[in-house]
Amino acid sequence: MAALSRKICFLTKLNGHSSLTCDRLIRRLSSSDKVLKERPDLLHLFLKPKVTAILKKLTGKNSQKTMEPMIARRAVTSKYKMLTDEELKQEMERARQVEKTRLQMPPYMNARRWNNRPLSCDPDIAPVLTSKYIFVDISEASKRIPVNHARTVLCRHKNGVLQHADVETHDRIVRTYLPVPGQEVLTPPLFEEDRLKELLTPVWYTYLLEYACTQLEPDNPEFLRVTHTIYEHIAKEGHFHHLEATRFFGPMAFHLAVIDKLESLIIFYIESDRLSDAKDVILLGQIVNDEPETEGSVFTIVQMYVKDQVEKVYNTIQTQSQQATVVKSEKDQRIFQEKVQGLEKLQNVLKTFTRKLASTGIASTGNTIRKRS
Amino acid sequence: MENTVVLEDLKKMRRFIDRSKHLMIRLSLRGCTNRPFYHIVVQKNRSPRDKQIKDQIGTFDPLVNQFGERIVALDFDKLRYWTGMNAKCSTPVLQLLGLSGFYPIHPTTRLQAMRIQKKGEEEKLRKQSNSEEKTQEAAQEK
Repeated sequence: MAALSRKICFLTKLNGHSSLTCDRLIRRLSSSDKVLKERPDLLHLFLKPKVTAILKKLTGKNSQKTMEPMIARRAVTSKYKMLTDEELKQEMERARQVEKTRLQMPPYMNARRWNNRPLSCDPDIAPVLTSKYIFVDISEASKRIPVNHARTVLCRHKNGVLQHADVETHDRIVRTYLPVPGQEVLTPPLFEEDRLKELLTPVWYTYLLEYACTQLEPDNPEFLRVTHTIYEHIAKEGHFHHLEATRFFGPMAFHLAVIDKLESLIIFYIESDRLSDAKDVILLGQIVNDEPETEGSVFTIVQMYVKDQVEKVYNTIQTQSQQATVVKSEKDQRIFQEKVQGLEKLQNVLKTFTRKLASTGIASTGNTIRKRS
Repeated sequence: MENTVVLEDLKKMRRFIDRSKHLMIRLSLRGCTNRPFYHIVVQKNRSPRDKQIKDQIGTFDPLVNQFGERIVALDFDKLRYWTGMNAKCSTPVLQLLGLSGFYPIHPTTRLQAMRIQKKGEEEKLRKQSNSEEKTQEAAQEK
Protein backbone atom coordinates (compact mmCIF):
# COMPACT_ATOMS: atom_id res chain seq x y z
CA MET A 1 0.00 0.00 0.00
CA ALA A 2 2.75 2.40 0.96
CA ALA A 3 4.83 1.52 -2.08
CA LEU A 4 1.86 1.96 -4.37
CA SER A 5 0.98 5.29 -2.78
CA ARG A 6 4.57 6.44 -3.21
CA LYS A 7 4.49 5.43 -6.87
CA ILE A 8 1.27 7.32 -7.42
CA CYS A 9 2.51 10.38 -5.56
CA PHE A 10 5.57 10.28 -7.79
CA LEU A 11 3.22 10.21 -10.76
CA THR A 12 1.32 13.25 -9.53
CA LYS A 13 4.59 15.19 -9.72
CA LEU A 14 4.70 14.34 -13.41
CA ASN A 15 1.27 15.88 -13.92
CA GLY A 16 1.05 18.12 -16.90
CA HIS A 17 3.85 16.26 -18.66
CA SER A 18 1.89 13.43 -20.19
CA SER A 19 4.76 11.00 -20.21
CA LEU A 20 4.14 7.58 -21.71
CA THR A 21 5.44 5.70 -18.67
CA CYS A 22 3.12 7.66 -16.41
CA ASP A 23 0.07 6.91 -18.54
CA ARG A 24 1.06 3.29 -19.02
CA LEU A 25 1.53 2.68 -15.31
CA ILE A 26 -1.79 4.31 -14.51
CA ARG A 27 -3.50 2.22 -17.15
CA ARG A 28 -1.84 -0.90 -15.82
CA LEU A 29 -2.89 -0.14 -12.27
CA SER A 30 -6.43 0.89 -13.12
CA SER A 31 -8.76 -1.57 -14.65
CA SER A 32 -12.13 -1.71 -16.31
CA ASP A 33 -14.52 -3.63 -14.12
CA LYS A 34 -18.26 -3.96 -13.91
CA VAL A 35 -18.03 -2.23 -10.51
CA LEU A 36 -18.95 1.44 -10.30
CA LYS A 37 -20.92 1.70 -13.56
CA GLU A 38 -17.97 0.73 -15.81
CA ARG A 39 -15.69 3.71 -15.21
CA PRO A 40 -12.19 2.62 -16.18
CA ASP A 41 -10.66 6.05 -15.76
CA LEU A 42 -11.25 6.67 -12.06
CA LEU A 43 -7.62 6.61 -10.98
CA HIS A 44 -6.70 8.86 -13.89
CA LEU A 45 -9.41 11.32 -12.81
CA PHE A 46 -8.36 11.12 -9.17
CA LEU A 47 -4.78 12.07 -10.09
CA LYS A 48 -5.77 15.03 -12.27
CA PRO A 49 -4.20 18.22 -10.90
CA LYS A 50 -7.56 20.05 -10.85
CA VAL A 51 -9.23 17.31 -8.88
CA THR A 52 -6.29 16.89 -6.48
CA ALA A 53 -6.27 20.62 -5.83
CA ILE A 54 -9.98 20.67 -5.02
CA LEU A 55 -9.69 17.65 -2.73
CA LYS A 56 -6.70 19.13 -0.92
CA LYS A 57 -8.59 22.38 -0.40
CA LEU A 58 -11.64 20.59 0.94
CA THR A 59 -9.52 18.50 3.32
CA GLY A 60 -8.50 21.70 4.98
CA LYS A 61 -5.68 22.25 7.42
CA ASN A 62 -6.04 21.49 11.09
CA SER A 63 -2.53 20.74 12.30
CA GLN A 64 -3.73 19.85 15.80
CA LYS A 65 -5.91 17.09 14.41
CA THR A 66 -3.54 15.81 11.76
CA MET A 67 -0.52 15.64 14.03
CA GLU A 68 -2.36 14.08 16.94
CA PRO A 69 -0.37 11.06 18.18
CA MET A 70 -2.03 7.70 18.65
CA ILE A 71 -3.98 7.13 21.86
CA ALA A 72 -1.44 4.69 23.31
CA ARG A 73 1.50 6.99 22.75
CA ARG A 74 0.10 10.26 24.05
CA ALA A 75 1.82 10.03 27.41
CA VAL A 76 5.17 9.23 25.82
CA THR A 77 5.45 11.61 22.88
CA SER A 78 5.62 15.00 24.55
CA LYS A 79 9.22 16.20 24.60
CA TYR A 80 10.66 19.49 25.81
CA LYS A 81 13.72 21.00 24.15
CA MET A 82 15.74 24.20 24.25
CA LEU A 83 16.19 25.46 20.70
CA THR A 84 17.66 28.45 18.92
CA ASP A 85 15.57 30.29 16.34
CA GLU A 86 17.22 28.44 13.47
CA GLU A 87 16.74 25.07 15.10
CA LEU A 88 13.12 25.97 15.75
CA LYS A 89 12.69 26.74 12.05
CA GLN A 90 14.20 23.37 11.18
CA GLU A 91 11.87 21.58 13.58
CA MET A 92 8.85 23.39 12.11
CA GLU A 93 9.98 22.42 8.61
CA ARG A 94 10.32 18.79 9.70
CA ALA A 95 6.86 18.91 11.26
CA ARG A 96 5.45 20.34 8.03
CA GLN A 97 6.95 17.44 6.09
CA VAL A 98 5.43 14.93 8.50
CA GLU A 99 2.06 16.65 8.14
CA LYS A 100 2.37 16.47 4.38
CA THR A 101 2.96 12.70 4.47
CA ARG A 102 0.07 12.25 6.89
CA LEU A 103 -2.26 14.04 4.48
CA GLN A 104 -1.24 11.92 1.47
CA MET A 105 -4.51 10.57 0.11
CA PRO A 106 -4.81 6.83 -0.52
CA PRO A 107 -5.50 6.35 -4.24
CA TYR A 108 -9.06 5.82 -5.41
CA MET A 109 -9.02 2.91 -7.83
CA ASN A 110 -11.30 0.39 -9.47
CA ALA A 111 -11.19 -3.22 -8.30
CA ARG A 112 -8.23 -5.13 -9.71
CA ARG A 113 -9.11 -7.16 -12.74
CA TRP A 114 -8.28 -10.85 -12.46
CA ASN A 115 -6.70 -12.22 -15.64
CA ASN A 116 -8.24 -15.69 -15.54
CA ARG A 117 -7.10 -16.82 -18.98
CA PRO A 118 -5.58 -20.29 -18.46
CA LEU A 119 -1.86 -20.28 -19.13
CA SER A 120 -1.71 -24.04 -19.64
CA CYS A 121 -4.17 -26.98 -19.58
CA ASP A 122 -2.72 -30.36 -18.66
CA PRO A 123 -5.53 -32.72 -17.71
CA ASP A 124 -3.12 -35.70 -18.08
CA ILE A 125 -1.35 -34.91 -14.82
CA ALA A 126 -4.57 -34.37 -12.86
CA PRO A 127 -4.28 -37.72 -10.97
CA VAL A 128 -1.00 -36.55 -9.39
CA LEU A 129 -2.43 -33.26 -8.14
CA THR A 130 -4.07 -34.04 -4.81
CA SER A 131 -4.36 -30.33 -3.97
CA LYS A 132 -3.90 -26.90 -5.49
CA TYR A 133 -0.30 -25.83 -5.99
CA ILE A 134 0.49 -22.13 -5.59
CA PHE A 135 3.72 -20.70 -6.99
CA VAL A 136 4.97 -17.31 -5.83
CA ASP A 137 7.80 -15.26 -7.21
CA ILE A 138 9.73 -13.93 -4.22
CA SER A 139 12.38 -12.13 -6.25
CA GLU A 140 13.44 -8.71 -5.06
CA ALA A 141 11.52 -5.68 -6.25
CA SER A 142 13.05 -4.47 -9.51
CA LYS A 143 12.09 -3.11 -12.89
CA ARG A 144 10.36 -6.42 -13.58
CA ILE A 145 8.43 -6.26 -10.30
CA PRO A 146 7.90 -2.56 -9.48
CA VAL A 147 4.96 -3.23 -7.12
CA ASN A 148 3.55 -6.23 -5.33
CA HIS A 149 0.66 -6.21 -7.82
CA ALA A 150 3.09 -7.22 -10.52
CA ARG A 151 4.33 -10.24 -8.60
CA THR A 152 3.47 -13.50 -10.33
CA VAL A 153 1.31 -15.79 -8.23
CA LEU A 154 0.22 -18.82 -10.22
CA CYS A 155 -2.19 -21.56 -9.28
CA ARG A 156 -2.09 -25.11 -10.63
CA HIS A 157 -5.59 -26.41 -10.00
CA LYS A 158 -6.48 -30.03 -9.34
CA ASN A 159 -7.74 -30.47 -12.91
CA GLY A 160 -4.34 -29.54 -14.32
CA VAL A 161 -5.15 -25.95 -15.33
CA LEU A 162 -2.49 -23.30 -14.66
CA GLN A 163 -3.88 -19.83 -14.01
CA HIS A 164 -3.02 -16.60 -12.27
CA ALA A 165 -4.31 -16.69 -8.72
CA ASP A 166 -7.39 -14.57 -8.05
CA VAL A 167 -7.04 -11.23 -6.27
CA GLU A 168 -7.77 -12.47 -2.76
CA THR A 169 -5.34 -15.39 -2.99
CA HIS A 170 -2.70 -13.21 -4.61
CA ASP A 171 -2.81 -10.65 -1.82
CA ARG A 172 -2.90 -13.30 0.88
CA ILE A 173 0.18 -15.12 -0.47
CA VAL A 174 2.07 -11.84 -0.90
CA ARG A 175 1.22 -10.93 2.70
CA THR A 176 2.52 -14.37 3.80
CA TYR A 177 5.91 -14.05 2.15
CA LEU A 178 6.45 -10.29 2.20
CA PRO A 179 5.04 -9.09 5.49
CA VAL A 180 4.61 -5.42 6.33
CA PRO A 181 4.45 -4.31 9.99
CA GLY A 182 0.83 -3.96 10.99
CA GLN A 183 -0.41 -6.36 8.33
CA GLU A 184 -1.96 -9.70 9.23
CA VAL A 185 -1.84 -12.61 6.80
CA LEU A 186 -5.57 -13.29 7.14
CA THR A 187 -7.91 -10.29 7.06
CA PRO A 188 -9.41 -9.71 10.50
CA PRO A 189 -13.11 -10.52 10.93
CA LEU A 190 -13.87 -6.92 11.88
CA PHE A 191 -14.13 -6.10 8.18
CA GLU A 192 -17.04 -8.51 7.70
CA GLU A 193 -20.30 -6.76 6.85
CA ASP A 194 -22.21 -7.46 10.07
CA ARG A 195 -19.32 -6.57 12.37
CA LEU A 196 -18.43 -3.48 10.37
CA LYS A 197 -21.99 -2.19 10.76
CA GLU A 198 -21.68 -2.36 14.55
CA LEU A 199 -18.41 -0.46 14.48
CA LEU A 200 -19.61 2.46 12.36
CA THR A 201 -19.53 5.13 15.06
CA PRO A 202 -17.59 8.42 14.85
CA VAL A 203 -14.96 7.16 17.30
CA TRP A 204 -13.89 4.37 14.95
CA TYR A 205 -14.00 5.99 11.48
CA THR A 206 -10.32 6.90 11.17
CA TYR A 207 -9.21 3.74 12.96
CA LEU A 208 -11.11 1.51 10.52
CA LEU A 209 -9.90 3.42 7.50
CA GLU A 210 -6.28 3.37 8.65
CA TYR A 211 -6.53 -0.34 9.42
CA ALA A 212 -7.96 -1.02 5.97
CA CYS A 213 -5.10 0.97 4.42
CA THR A 214 -2.38 -0.99 6.23
CA GLN A 215 -4.02 -4.38 5.73
CA LEU A 216 -5.29 -4.24 2.16
CA GLU A 217 -4.17 -2.98 -1.22
CA PRO A 218 -6.12 0.01 -2.60
CA ASP A 219 -7.59 -1.97 -5.49
CA ASN A 220 -8.54 -5.03 -3.45
CA PRO A 221 -12.32 -5.57 -3.67
CA GLU A 222 -12.45 -6.00 0.14
CA PHE A 223 -10.76 -2.63 0.64
CA LEU A 224 -13.20 -0.98 -1.75
CA ARG A 225 -16.19 -2.53 -0.02
CA VAL A 226 -15.00 -1.49 3.46
CA THR A 227 -14.05 2.07 2.53
CA HIS A 228 -17.16 2.67 0.42
CA THR A 229 -19.38 1.41 3.28
CA ILE A 230 -17.69 3.81 5.69
CA TYR A 231 -17.86 6.77 3.28
CA GLU A 232 -21.53 6.19 2.49
CA HIS A 233 -22.37 5.82 6.18
CA ILE A 234 -20.61 9.11 6.95
CA ALA A 235 -22.53 10.79 4.13
CA LYS A 236 -25.81 9.42 5.43
CA GLU A 237 -25.16 10.61 9.00
CA GLY A 238 -23.47 13.85 7.96
CA HIS A 239 -20.40 13.23 10.15
CA PHE A 240 -18.04 14.95 7.72
CA HIS A 241 -16.18 16.98 10.33
CA HIS A 242 -14.71 13.78 11.77
CA LEU A 243 -12.79 13.14 8.54
CA GLU A 244 -11.76 16.73 7.92
CA ALA A 245 -7.99 17.32 8.03
CA THR A 246 -7.39 13.59 7.63
CA ARG A 247 -6.07 11.89 4.51
CA PHE A 248 -9.43 10.22 3.86
CA PHE A 249 -11.55 13.29 3.18
CA GLY A 250 -10.37 13.54 -0.43
CA PRO A 251 -11.18 9.95 -1.40
CA MET A 252 -14.51 10.24 0.41
CA ALA A 253 -15.53 13.37 -1.52
CA PHE A 254 -14.36 11.73 -4.74
CA HIS A 255 -16.38 8.60 -3.99
CA LEU A 256 -19.53 10.63 -3.34
CA ALA A 257 -18.96 12.45 -6.62
CA VAL A 258 -18.61 9.15 -8.48
CA ILE A 259 -21.78 7.62 -7.02
CA ASP A 260 -23.59 10.99 -7.39
CA LYS A 261 -24.48 11.47 -3.73
CA LEU A 262 -22.99 14.90 -3.13
CA GLU A 263 -26.18 16.35 -1.63
CA SER A 264 -25.35 15.63 2.01
CA LEU A 265 -21.87 17.13 1.63
CA ILE A 266 -23.29 20.31 0.07
CA ILE A 267 -25.87 20.52 2.86
CA PHE A 268 -23.04 20.22 5.40
CA TYR A 269 -21.21 23.15 3.84
CA ILE A 270 -24.27 25.37 3.41
CA GLU A 271 -25.33 24.80 7.00
CA SER A 272 -21.88 25.83 8.22
CA ASP A 273 -21.86 28.89 5.91
CA ARG A 274 -19.03 27.60 3.69
CA LEU A 275 -20.44 28.34 0.26
CA SER A 276 -17.08 28.37 -1.52
CA ASP A 277 -16.47 24.80 -0.37
CA ALA A 278 -19.95 23.86 -1.59
CA LYS A 279 -19.08 25.37 -4.94
CA ASP A 280 -15.86 23.34 -5.02
CA VAL A 281 -17.81 20.16 -4.34
CA ILE A 282 -20.16 20.95 -7.21
CA LEU A 283 -17.18 21.62 -9.46
CA LEU A 284 -15.71 18.27 -8.44
CA GLY A 285 -18.97 16.52 -9.31
CA GLN A 286 -19.00 18.17 -12.71
CA ILE A 287 -15.39 17.20 -13.50
CA VAL A 288 -15.96 13.61 -12.39
CA ASN A 289 -19.16 13.19 -14.37
CA ASP A 290 -17.75 14.99 -17.40
CA GLU A 291 -20.27 17.81 -17.35
CA PRO A 292 -19.64 21.38 -18.40
CA GLU A 293 -18.44 23.53 -15.52
CA THR A 294 -20.79 26.36 -14.60
CA GLU A 295 -19.33 29.77 -14.04
CA GLY A 296 -20.42 32.76 -12.07
CA SER A 297 -20.52 33.78 -8.47
CA VAL A 298 -20.44 31.16 -5.78
CA PHE A 299 -24.09 31.59 -4.88
CA THR A 300 -25.30 31.33 -8.49
CA ILE A 301 -23.34 28.13 -9.03
CA VAL A 302 -24.95 26.50 -6.02
CA GLN A 303 -28.41 27.62 -7.10
CA MET A 304 -27.91 26.48 -10.68
CA TYR A 305 -26.66 23.12 -9.48
CA VAL A 306 -29.68 22.51 -7.26
CA LYS A 307 -32.01 23.61 -10.06
CA ASP A 308 -30.36 21.27 -12.59
CA GLN A 309 -30.46 18.31 -10.24
CA VAL A 310 -34.12 18.88 -9.41
CA GLU A 311 -34.92 19.19 -13.14
CA LYS A 312 -33.19 15.92 -13.88
CA VAL A 313 -35.11 14.12 -11.17
CA TYR A 314 -38.45 15.53 -12.37
CA ASN A 315 -37.65 14.47 -15.93
CA THR A 316 -36.89 10.92 -14.85
CA ILE A 317 -40.11 10.79 -12.82
CA GLN A 318 -42.09 12.03 -15.84
CA THR A 319 -40.53 9.48 -18.18
CA GLN A 320 -41.17 6.77 -15.60
CA SER A 321 -44.84 7.71 -15.31
CA GLN A 322 -45.16 7.67 -19.12
CA GLN A 323 -43.50 4.28 -19.54
CA ALA A 324 -45.64 2.42 -17.07
CA THR A 325 -44.17 -0.94 -18.05
CA VAL A 326 -40.62 -0.08 -16.97
CA VAL A 327 -39.61 -2.41 -14.17
CA LYS A 328 -36.82 -1.12 -11.96
CA SER A 329 -34.95 -3.31 -9.55
CA GLU A 330 -35.56 -2.70 -5.87
CA LYS A 331 -32.04 -1.47 -5.36
CA ASP A 332 -32.32 1.12 -8.15
CA GLN A 333 -35.64 2.30 -6.77
CA ARG A 334 -34.20 2.67 -3.30
CA ILE A 335 -31.21 4.63 -4.64
CA PHE A 336 -33.54 6.88 -6.63
CA GLN A 337 -35.75 7.52 -3.60
CA GLU A 338 -32.74 8.37 -1.48
CA LYS A 339 -31.57 10.77 -4.17
CA VAL A 340 -34.98 12.47 -4.24
CA GLN A 341 -35.01 12.80 -0.45
CA GLY A 342 -31.47 14.20 -0.47
CA LEU A 343 -32.40 16.76 -3.11
CA GLU A 344 -35.52 17.85 -1.21
CA LYS A 345 -33.44 18.34 1.91
CA LEU A 346 -30.85 20.29 -0.08
CA GLN A 347 -33.54 22.53 -1.56
CA ASN A 348 -34.93 23.26 1.90
CA VAL A 349 -31.50 24.02 3.32
CA LEU A 350 -30.73 26.35 0.45
CA LYS A 351 -34.07 28.13 0.93
CA THR A 352 -33.39 28.75 4.62
CA PHE A 353 -29.90 29.94 3.77
CA THR A 354 -31.13 32.44 1.16
CA ARG A 355 -33.78 33.71 3.58
CA LYS A 356 -31.09 34.19 6.21
CA LEU A 357 -28.87 36.04 3.75
CA ALA A 358 -31.74 38.20 2.52
CA SER A 359 -32.69 39.10 6.10
CA THR A 360 -29.11 40.08 6.93
CA GLY A 361 -28.91 41.89 3.60
CA ILE A 362 -25.56 40.53 2.38
CA ALA A 363 -26.61 38.77 -0.82
CA SER A 364 -27.72 40.99 -3.68
CA THR A 365 -27.54 38.62 -6.58
CA GLY A 366 -31.14 39.16 -7.57
CA ASN A 367 -31.54 35.49 -8.36
CA THR A 368 -34.31 33.63 -6.62
CA ILE A 369 -35.11 29.97 -6.62
CA ARG A 370 -38.21 29.51 -8.72
CA LYS A 371 -40.66 27.27 -6.91
CA ARG A 372 -41.69 24.22 -8.86
CA SER A 373 -45.42 23.62 -8.88
CA MET B 1 57.04 -20.49 12.90
CA GLU B 2 54.23 -19.84 10.35
CA ASN B 3 55.71 -22.04 7.63
CA THR B 4 56.11 -25.16 9.73
CA VAL B 5 53.09 -27.51 9.70
CA VAL B 6 52.34 -28.84 13.16
CA LEU B 7 50.51 -32.08 13.96
CA GLU B 8 47.44 -30.15 15.20
CA ASP B 9 47.12 -28.40 11.83
CA LEU B 10 47.26 -31.76 10.03
CA LYS B 11 44.50 -33.08 12.26
CA LYS B 12 42.36 -30.05 11.46
CA MET B 13 42.75 -30.57 7.70
CA ARG B 14 39.73 -32.08 6.01
CA ARG B 15 39.82 -35.86 5.74
CA PHE B 16 37.86 -35.85 2.57
CA ILE B 17 38.67 -34.19 -0.69
CA ASP B 18 35.69 -32.49 -2.31
CA ARG B 19 34.91 -34.60 -5.35
CA SER B 20 31.70 -32.75 -6.21
CA LYS B 21 31.12 -32.38 -9.92
CA HIS B 22 27.86 -30.50 -10.08
CA LEU B 23 26.08 -27.60 -8.49
CA MET B 24 22.64 -28.88 -7.52
CA ILE B 25 19.33 -27.16 -6.93
CA ARG B 26 17.42 -29.50 -4.66
CA LEU B 27 15.16 -29.85 -1.65
CA SER B 28 16.62 -29.70 1.83
CA LEU B 29 14.32 -31.09 4.54
CA ARG B 30 13.64 -28.81 7.49
CA GLY B 31 10.79 -28.59 9.95
CA CYS B 32 10.31 -31.03 12.81
CA THR B 33 8.69 -34.35 13.63
CA ASN B 34 5.45 -34.87 11.68
CA ARG B 35 5.93 -31.49 10.07
CA PRO B 36 8.15 -31.58 6.97
CA PHE B 37 9.14 -28.36 5.24
CA TYR B 38 11.57 -28.07 2.35
CA HIS B 39 14.01 -25.32 1.45
CA ILE B 40 14.96 -25.16 -2.23
CA VAL B 41 18.72 -24.70 -2.03
CA VAL B 42 21.83 -24.54 -4.17
CA GLN B 43 24.57 -26.93 -3.04
CA LYS B 44 27.44 -28.94 -4.39
CA ASN B 45 26.20 -32.40 -5.22
CA ARG B 46 28.25 -34.31 -2.61
CA SER B 47 27.32 -32.09 0.31
CA PRO B 48 25.02 -33.43 3.02
CA ARG B 49 21.35 -32.65 2.50
CA ASP B 50 21.04 -29.94 5.19
CA LYS B 51 24.58 -28.54 5.34
CA GLN B 52 27.03 -26.53 3.25
CA ILE B 53 24.39 -24.55 1.42
CA LYS B 54 25.53 -21.99 -1.10
CA ASP B 55 22.24 -20.18 -1.46
CA GLN B 56 18.57 -20.63 -0.67
CA ILE B 57 16.26 -19.84 -3.56
CA GLY B 58 12.89 -20.87 -2.22
CA THR B 59 10.67 -23.03 -0.09
CA PHE B 60 8.15 -25.80 -0.57
CA ASP B 61 5.49 -26.65 1.99
CA PRO B 62 4.30 -30.23 1.37
CA LEU B 63 1.44 -30.01 3.85
CA VAL B 64 -1.90 -28.72 2.60
CA ASN B 65 -3.05 -25.48 4.26
CA GLN B 66 -6.52 -24.42 5.38
CA PHE B 67 -7.35 -23.23 1.85
CA GLY B 68 -6.39 -26.57 0.29
CA GLU B 69 -3.12 -25.31 -1.16
CA ARG B 70 0.50 -26.41 -1.24
CA ILE B 71 2.67 -23.31 -1.57
CA VAL B 72 5.98 -23.13 -3.42
CA ALA B 73 7.92 -19.88 -3.15
CA LEU B 74 10.72 -19.39 -5.67
CA ASP B 75 13.14 -16.57 -6.30
CA PHE B 76 13.18 -16.82 -10.08
CA ASP B 77 15.96 -14.27 -10.51
CA LYS B 78 18.27 -16.40 -8.37
CA LEU B 79 17.08 -19.55 -10.11
CA ARG B 80 18.01 -18.06 -13.45
CA TYR B 81 21.38 -16.96 -12.10
CA TRP B 82 22.33 -20.37 -10.73
CA THR B 83 21.05 -22.14 -13.83
CA GLY B 84 23.37 -19.83 -15.71
CA MET B 85 26.19 -20.94 -13.40
CA ASN B 86 25.42 -24.48 -14.61
CA ALA B 87 23.52 -25.82 -11.63
CA LYS B 88 21.45 -28.96 -12.19
CA CYS B 89 18.02 -29.40 -10.62
CA SER B 90 17.04 -32.59 -8.86
CA THR B 91 13.96 -34.45 -10.09
CA PRO B 92 11.54 -33.20 -7.40
CA VAL B 93 12.59 -29.61 -8.10
CA LEU B 94 12.16 -30.18 -11.83
CA GLN B 95 8.71 -31.60 -11.17
CA LEU B 96 7.73 -28.52 -9.17
CA LEU B 97 9.12 -26.20 -11.83
CA GLY B 98 7.14 -28.15 -14.43
CA LEU B 99 3.96 -27.71 -12.44
CA SER B 100 4.68 -23.99 -12.11
CA GLY B 101 5.00 -23.59 -15.86
CA PHE B 102 8.64 -22.43 -15.77
CA TYR B 103 9.72 -25.71 -17.40
CA PRO B 104 7.54 -28.20 -19.28
CA ILE B 105 5.85 -30.96 -17.32
CA HIS B 106 8.47 -33.51 -16.23
CA PRO B 107 8.19 -37.05 -17.60
CA THR B 108 8.22 -38.36 -14.02
CA THR B 109 5.01 -36.45 -13.32
CA ARG B 110 3.41 -37.98 -16.38
CA LEU B 111 4.57 -41.48 -15.37
CA GLN B 112 3.18 -41.01 -11.87
CA ALA B 113 -0.12 -39.85 -13.32
CA MET B 114 -0.29 -42.87 -15.63
CA ARG B 115 0.49 -45.25 -12.77
CA ILE B 116 -2.16 -43.74 -10.50
CA GLN B 117 -4.71 -43.87 -13.26
CA LYS B 118 -3.87 -47.50 -14.08
CA LYS B 119 -4.15 -48.43 -10.42
CA GLY B 120 -7.49 -46.66 -10.20
CA GLU B 121 -8.82 -48.53 -13.22
CA GLU B 122 -7.66 -51.88 -11.80
CA GLU B 123 -9.37 -51.04 -8.49
CA LYS B 124 -12.56 -50.23 -10.38
CA LEU B 125 -12.45 -53.54 -12.30
CA ARG B 126 -11.82 -55.47 -9.09
CA LYS B 127 -14.74 -53.75 -7.35
CA GLN B 128 -16.99 -54.41 -10.34
CA SER B 129 -16.09 -58.12 -10.40
CA ASN B 130 -16.63 -58.32 -6.61
CA SER B 131 -20.07 -56.79 -6.88
CA GLU B 132 -20.92 -59.11 -9.79
CA GLU B 133 -19.87 -62.12 -7.71
CA LYS B 134 -22.02 -60.88 -4.81
CA THR B 135 -25.10 -60.48 -7.02
CA GLN B 136 -24.49 -63.97 -8.51
CA GLU B 137 -24.22 -65.49 -4.99
CA ALA B 138 -27.41 -63.72 -3.91
CA ALA B 139 -29.20 -65.04 -7.01
CA GLN B 140 -27.92 -68.63 -6.31
CA GLU B 141 -29.10 -68.52 -2.67
CA LYS B 142 -32.57 -67.55 -3.83
